[in-house]
Amino acid sequence: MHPAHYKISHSGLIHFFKLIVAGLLLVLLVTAFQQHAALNWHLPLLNFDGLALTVQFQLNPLAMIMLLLVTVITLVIVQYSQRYLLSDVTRLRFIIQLLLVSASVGVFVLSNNLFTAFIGWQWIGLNLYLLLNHYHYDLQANRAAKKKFVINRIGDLCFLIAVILMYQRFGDSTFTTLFHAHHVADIVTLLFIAVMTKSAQLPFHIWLPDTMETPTPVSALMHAGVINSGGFLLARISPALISIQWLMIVITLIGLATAICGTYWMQHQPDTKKKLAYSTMGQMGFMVMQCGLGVFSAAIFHLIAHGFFKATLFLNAGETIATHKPAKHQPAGFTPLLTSTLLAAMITVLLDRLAHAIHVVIPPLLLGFMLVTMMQLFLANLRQHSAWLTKLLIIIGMALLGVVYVLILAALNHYLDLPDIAKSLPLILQWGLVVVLIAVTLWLSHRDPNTRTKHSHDHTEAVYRRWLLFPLRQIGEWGVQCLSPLTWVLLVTLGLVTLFGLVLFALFPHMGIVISAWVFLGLLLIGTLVLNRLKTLQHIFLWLAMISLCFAMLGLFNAQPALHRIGFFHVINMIWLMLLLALITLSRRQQTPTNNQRYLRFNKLPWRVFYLSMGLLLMIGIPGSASFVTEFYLFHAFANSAGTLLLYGVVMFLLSISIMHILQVFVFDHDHISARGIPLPWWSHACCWLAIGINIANGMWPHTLLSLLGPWSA
Amino acid sequence: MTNTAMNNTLEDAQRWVAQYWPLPSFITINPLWEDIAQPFLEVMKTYDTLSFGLRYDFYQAQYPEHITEDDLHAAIEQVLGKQSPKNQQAIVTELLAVQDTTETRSTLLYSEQCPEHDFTPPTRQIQETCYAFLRDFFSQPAGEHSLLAQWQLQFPASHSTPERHITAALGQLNIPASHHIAYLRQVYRQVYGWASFIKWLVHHPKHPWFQHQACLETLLVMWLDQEVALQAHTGHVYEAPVLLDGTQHERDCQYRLIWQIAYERPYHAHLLNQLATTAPQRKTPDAQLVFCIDVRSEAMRRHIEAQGNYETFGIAGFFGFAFQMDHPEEASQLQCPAIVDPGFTFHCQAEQRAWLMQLFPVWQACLKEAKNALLSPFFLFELVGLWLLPTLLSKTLLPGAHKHHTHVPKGLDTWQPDFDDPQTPIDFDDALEAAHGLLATIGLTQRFAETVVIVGHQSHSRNNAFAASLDCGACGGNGGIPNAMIACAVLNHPGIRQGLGERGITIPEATHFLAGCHHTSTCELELFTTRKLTPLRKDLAQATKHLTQEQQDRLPMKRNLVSRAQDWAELIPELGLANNAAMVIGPRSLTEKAHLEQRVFLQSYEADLDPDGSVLEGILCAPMVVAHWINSQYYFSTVCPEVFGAGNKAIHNVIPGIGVMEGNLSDLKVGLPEQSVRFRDQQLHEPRRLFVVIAAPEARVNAIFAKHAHLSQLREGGWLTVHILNSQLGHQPQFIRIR
Repeated sequence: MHPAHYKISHSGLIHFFKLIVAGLLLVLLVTAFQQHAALNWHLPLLNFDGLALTVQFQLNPLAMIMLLLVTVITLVIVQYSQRYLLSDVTRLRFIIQLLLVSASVGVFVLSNNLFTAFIGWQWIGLNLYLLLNHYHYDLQANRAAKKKFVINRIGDLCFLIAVILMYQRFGDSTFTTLFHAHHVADIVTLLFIAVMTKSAQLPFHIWLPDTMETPTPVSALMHAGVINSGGFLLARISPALISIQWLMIVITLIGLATAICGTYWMQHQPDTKKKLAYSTMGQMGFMVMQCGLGVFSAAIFHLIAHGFFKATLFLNAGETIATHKPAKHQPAGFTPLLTSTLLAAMITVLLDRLAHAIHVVIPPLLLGFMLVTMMQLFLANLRQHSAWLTKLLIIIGMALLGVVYVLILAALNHYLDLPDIAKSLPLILQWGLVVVLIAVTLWLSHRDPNTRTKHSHDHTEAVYRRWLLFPLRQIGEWGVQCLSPLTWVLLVTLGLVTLFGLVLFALFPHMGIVISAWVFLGLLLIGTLVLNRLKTLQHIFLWLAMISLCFAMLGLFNAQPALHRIGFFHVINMIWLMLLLALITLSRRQQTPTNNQRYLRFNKLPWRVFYLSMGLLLMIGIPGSASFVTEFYLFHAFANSAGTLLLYGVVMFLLSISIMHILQVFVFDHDHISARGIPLPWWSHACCWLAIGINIANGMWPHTLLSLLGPWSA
Repeated sequence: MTNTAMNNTLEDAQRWVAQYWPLPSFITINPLWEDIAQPFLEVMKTYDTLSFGLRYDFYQAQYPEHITEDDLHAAIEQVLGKQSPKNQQAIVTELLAVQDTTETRSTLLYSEQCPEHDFTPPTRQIQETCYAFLRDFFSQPAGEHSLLAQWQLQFPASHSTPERHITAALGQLNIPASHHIAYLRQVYRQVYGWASFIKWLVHHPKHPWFQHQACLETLLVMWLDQEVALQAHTGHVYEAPVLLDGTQHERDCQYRLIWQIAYERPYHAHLLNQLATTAPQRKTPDAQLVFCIDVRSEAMRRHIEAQGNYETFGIAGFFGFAFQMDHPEEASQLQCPAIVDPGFTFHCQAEQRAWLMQLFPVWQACLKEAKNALLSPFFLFELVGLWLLPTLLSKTLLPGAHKHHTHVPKGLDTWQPDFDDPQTPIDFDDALEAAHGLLATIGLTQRFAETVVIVGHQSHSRNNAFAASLDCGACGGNGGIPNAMIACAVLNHPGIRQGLGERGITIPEATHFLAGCHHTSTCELELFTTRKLTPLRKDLAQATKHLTQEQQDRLPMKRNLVSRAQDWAELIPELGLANNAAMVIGPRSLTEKAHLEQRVFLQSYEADLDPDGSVLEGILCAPMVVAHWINSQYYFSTVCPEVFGAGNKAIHNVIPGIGVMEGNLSDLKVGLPEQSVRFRDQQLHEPRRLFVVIAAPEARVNAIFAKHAHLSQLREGGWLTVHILNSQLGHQPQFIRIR
């Protein structure tokens, strides 16, 4: 072996990326403190059938703060990964994916309307999915990534419906419209559900502890940067939020429950990373609770402070501090308890007075948390074997930190100019909770934190599996058993149903739409359930084709002529995707695979697998793909009828689960893809790129094809 | 099946599960240590699911440049016996054409035969149960919990003993008796890490942390219970696969071994050719330095000797002083190899800090407590989170700025033995014995220089769960400074010197022993003394400079060694013992002129001073076995990373005090991580079995090997290769080719 042989490629490119991020950071820092009006950009995307979709950006103080956070974290993490993944051949791919996640967060925080925010939101989810799949041959990683995607998908659908409702009611989706409109409680609630999925609130937190199958920097980025987007969204829509008191109370309670559960579960994990994950869950709960209490600047400050703290902890997760003797728990004595409680109470009151003096409002519940934290710190301090001068200095230091905290909060309040306080949890209730907090802290100081009950493990996922996933699987299994050998029966049925729909449509134009829509949606539902349990790729593609056809029919049988065009639009795009999938699966039998092990060992993604994943991912409805346009317009068409909307939502949700499942089982599991290494002929490459290109072009500029279809479908 | 037969089967199946020491004391071990009674080739044939060599294409790429035709012929002869020339040529042709078979999935286990996706793999359930068991380590009163009991909450037991349970389950699954051993072995292979950890638990029942009941059979019970449940669910009938294509597999084993031997041979010849045969006449050196036998010492010694009139020695890094170190705040450490019993316990003193110096540790402790409490972490993050930004930035962007300071436990550097005081941890006779052993073993009995440095070694790295694997293996995975300091204190004691004088070792009064530390990650040699020693320090600095250059060239990506060691994003802080391949037992004059590329354990030994062979016996029984263990650990982590390697560091998830998992939940990872043995598609560690060169009379060596069964097994079975240099012959030996 000789040293000169170590080849490390792409270092220059990565340095270049770092320079760009650093440059961006510099620009942000320079502009952050200049007082001027918010900057706006517009980018009209599509104006079709009375629906004007515009991408809008705005650089306001809140976006500025978030951008600063994201760029700092990104810079640190890219620099870290450059060395951390040096021994990984796919380092460049990894770093580009990291940057894509950050860029998506950037789009999200800059957005000025819900539509743009939604695009950013979905791209965050998709990019994280890809990143979590970095070791794509690892089934555990696939599972974790899939779980994350599925949970996110619930949020995506809620968000999407909120966007559609905005367009339906007000004709546009800017935040200003939202703030000034009345009766937006349902829209805001839907957005809050989306936030719950993104920020790991109970009971949607189950994806978070499972995302450790990727290199550590991803966790750091996710826990320090990405997961905060929920808190940001709540702060962004705060003017609309504060007028809905019951929602604020719900938000507070969910946040509080998440905070307590997360920390409680955190205490009972033996391994470092899961401990950190549950800790993040708790912290996110606290942030959401702050939003619920109406102190949005405090929530923003919390997510920044938490970001830096958690990034440091994650990036240092390999450090073992096990050389210390396992501490024996000793209950705290009466005197230290009393002293620390009194001291903490005194300091908290002083901080509250200070806050009042500089016009910062801190709700009682937060004061309560402040108080118990100070108590815990002082108690720990008093129990150390150290000089009294040390103890005193540390107490003074903590009090000073508290003062600095209040001052920063005041500055942030002033800078962000978010609504300050709202009607939320009644004060009497808050004070009651404070008393409970103090009592619990006092009680816990007597108890060994390690004693557990049977509830100390997180059983949420098991509940899901038992009551949701398992029945769905059973139905799918049953469907496969009934239908799979008779695929042609389904084809015939589809034909008959189409005919039936046509007749209905012709005879009773109004009745027909609803009935045919329900018939197709029913078919789609069965189809997606069955899709999960199919055992060969060929079968799956047949089913996917049929499902796509059903989608097209939904448009074609609609009364609105504009939707006919959407139907044709969908058919044209799907034909190309199906061609791609067929090419990939059918042409592989004749050749012998190249060395599979090599791909596995070096974590490279063969072209064939890349195309297959692309083809499948393009069907889910990611913004920028053609199926997104179809999905969006169909949603829009059903927005009037809640039942149809719900059914359609369920179908879309199940479809994405199925596609993720197919990806996991048939693409990443190397037992199934024995031929992943077979090279493709050049014309296959050309066809695949053409199919992908057409799809993306139609997704980005749908206008061209839609206007071409205009005369034809009228 | 009778119970005894079952017990035998179980014992057979469990033999290859090695003990796994918790990570903080990374103890290297030959994972197949219990199998050494059989030759390497036979063991290779037994475990058909493990690989014992690299892929064929790796070897074939070395032909004919590094592996010559001659090497192949010799290797064939060694493995297959004497062959006719025509036959031999045919085998060579075949060797050059042979290809690795693509891995086929095993279908031996019942659950492997069932259609996937129909059930949760048993591995996962076992991992979850073991994990939950581990989780309870932290929360249950010791001794209260048993793994089996935990499992039986889910699957109630139907038989009184695990053995009966296993017998019944195997019967129910319809596994033929001929398949039992293979079947059970395959089960252990699936959960190898947890099995190894449990084996350690079984062997260390008194460990204060883990007094929990678990036994290896429990894992089998857990596995088989699930398969029985699966059988009830699917009704699949077990089809016994043809166990092993005997001839095909045997041929494969032979060919791989032939390639491995042929791959090792050129290095053996290269090493022997480098050895000098005539000892130069030496005058008294300016200073003498005693190092650990660790392969990294070789480079340091080479560079120091090049600076001037210095003499260096090598001995196992605990320097004959085996003890346990107790610290009032930290867990106690073992300062000797795992196979040696600590003779005494050294108690460190609690650190007395001024109030100002207490601030930071107390602050840290408060934060830690508040961070882990139920209600306080939230506001705590807001209080301190923002202030961590400077740390985050500086640690990432300027890692070199975070300098490391050597930590010497309080009370160690000032310790003077006072043998009249009953508080002294070691008594006079033991101390004298150890001191004599140290000097006699390395042959330092006369010509003492004024300064003798005893050099322990220590590695520094950040954010590295495997830090212990880079420290001194002879000191139980800790740094060697305490041993060096204690050895120096004893050797400087007048009473001991007098005692040594009575035993024939006269140490001049002017001679002073002082402790040093070889910082292996930064290539520095620190001296723990207040004396000036200007010329020595200057030369050491010069040696550091040269060695740094050498080290930087060996590591991937050229970087300043200090910032490499201090960087929390660095997964390869140093190469450790990678590329270790040989051990030379003999005087330094043999290897003085050679550039041994940090591949050789150097044990000093003067055959003339050891007429009865007792010193050599000690060396062969302890340091050589430890070197073999280290070598085997590297070897098997490289050739069979799926089972014996610790996987990818980038996704490691640390369970403090125990080990690592990959990702959320996986098997416990044993052995060395990928980043210790491989960089991308290149080997950082080239796997070679240990080549031991002994400079001693042949009869003496053979007698010792004959006396100890395990030594002769290692030698005869091909676990290591022994070459004897007969220095008494007096003529120039031929080191061209060995047999």
